[in-house]
Amino acid sequence: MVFQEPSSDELLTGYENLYVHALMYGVPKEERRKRIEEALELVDLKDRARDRAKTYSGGMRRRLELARGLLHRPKILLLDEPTLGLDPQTRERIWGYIERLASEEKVTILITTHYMEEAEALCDRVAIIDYGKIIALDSPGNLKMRVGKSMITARVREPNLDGIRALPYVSKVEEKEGKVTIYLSEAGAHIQEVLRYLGEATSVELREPTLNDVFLKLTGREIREESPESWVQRYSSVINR
Amino acid sequence: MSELVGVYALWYREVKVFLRERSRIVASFVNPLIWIIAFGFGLGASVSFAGTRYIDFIFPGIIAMNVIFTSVFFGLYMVWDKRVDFFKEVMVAPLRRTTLFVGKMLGGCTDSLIQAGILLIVGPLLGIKYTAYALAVLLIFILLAAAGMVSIGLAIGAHMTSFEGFGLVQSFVILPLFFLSGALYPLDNLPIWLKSATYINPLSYVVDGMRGALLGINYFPIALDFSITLAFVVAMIAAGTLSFNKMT
Repeated sequence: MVFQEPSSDELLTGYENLYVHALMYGVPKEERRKRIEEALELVDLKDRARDRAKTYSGGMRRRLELARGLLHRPKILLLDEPTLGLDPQTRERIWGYIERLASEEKVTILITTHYMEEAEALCDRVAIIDYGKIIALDSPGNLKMRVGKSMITARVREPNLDGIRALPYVSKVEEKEGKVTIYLSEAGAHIQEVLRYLGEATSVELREPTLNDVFLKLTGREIREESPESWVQRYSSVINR
Repeated sequence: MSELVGVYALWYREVKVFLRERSRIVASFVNPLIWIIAFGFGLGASVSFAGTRYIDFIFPGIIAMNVIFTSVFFGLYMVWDKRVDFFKEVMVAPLRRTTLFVGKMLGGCTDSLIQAGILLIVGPLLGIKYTAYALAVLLIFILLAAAGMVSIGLAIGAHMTSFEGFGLVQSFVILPLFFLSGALYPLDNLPIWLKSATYINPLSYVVDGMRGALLGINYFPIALDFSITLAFVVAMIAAGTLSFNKMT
């Protein structure tokens, strides 16, 4: 279990934090040292192991807590908002560690997050929870299919709108002040053809649906007045191996 | 077995932290030393009880004071653990709450014992002499008092969520326990209301037991001192365990 808030003991060193955890979770005596060193290695904290957690940055504490969560070889690891409040570099690294855990340690990881790109990048299955109920549970790909449409927005001098409309995979075409927006399924596969029919374009923008679109579509756009509730009730997503 | 290792884990943490915070150790024995010296030599210049030097008379009282302050505050400081969220990790560990309590309690007792030990070492420099018997009795009472006081602190700390209550605990728990215990004065000629207060104060028996061993002047029989202290410790450990088990 890894909490949203930093929960390592700042008065102890990184190593001692893991040692206390190993004791509390009944890691056999012969294995303690080995497992602690492995866990520290996994999150690249070996050379800071003798420093007090107080001196660690937010990202390092997170990593230390990830390592700690693994010491007793859990079958399922719960990560509550693992990258909340971290800068983009640190977030990328944490994502890297989480993927490493899932593939190398063969551990099932349950993540709660507000970051849709995080769920998209890491998770095999995503559940969207609204007002405490799971309203969708599927792979990111399948969830995105529910929103369905890709969008191509292009600036074209003399657009061939009728030609585009005739294409079987195009569902809707809008034109406004020389800007053409085409809704279609799987833009990636058809973009060449669309552009050939469309005419001479000066700019093209392609947008695939993201989990963010899925989330907004499923939960609506109004802001939630959330009461403080247990973390499980928030959006959650699952990596399954 | 795993619960015992759990107790060790909690104890290990407390002792590591204590030994690392050197400023706390220094403060913890300088403070009582000032008391002993200022009161012992200052007040002692014109006051003496039962034919003893005043400094000898208050020495066990000041040790008791040191034990109350450090032990109760040790317990209260778990509010800090809760605040920095470190305690969450401890709470979700696969251990009984009683185990957490015992580990933390023993950690606090160790801290208090180390601090009292420093005072016991300094004692002879101030002309205080003890026999082996006196030393053994002192250590037993120090350990019991520490266990009781740490438990009070933990029981209160388990219910608290902020530091605002610290002053209240100081005013309504620590200071009355100390001042109404006979640590600074003999119980013989007290007005009846004050005497009753000291009679229901468990610390009076701790101080009396230690003073009896050190100076041979007992107000209560030593067996009574010991039994009441023990009963107090058992009751406080029970209260602390209960608070930990109810803590959310």
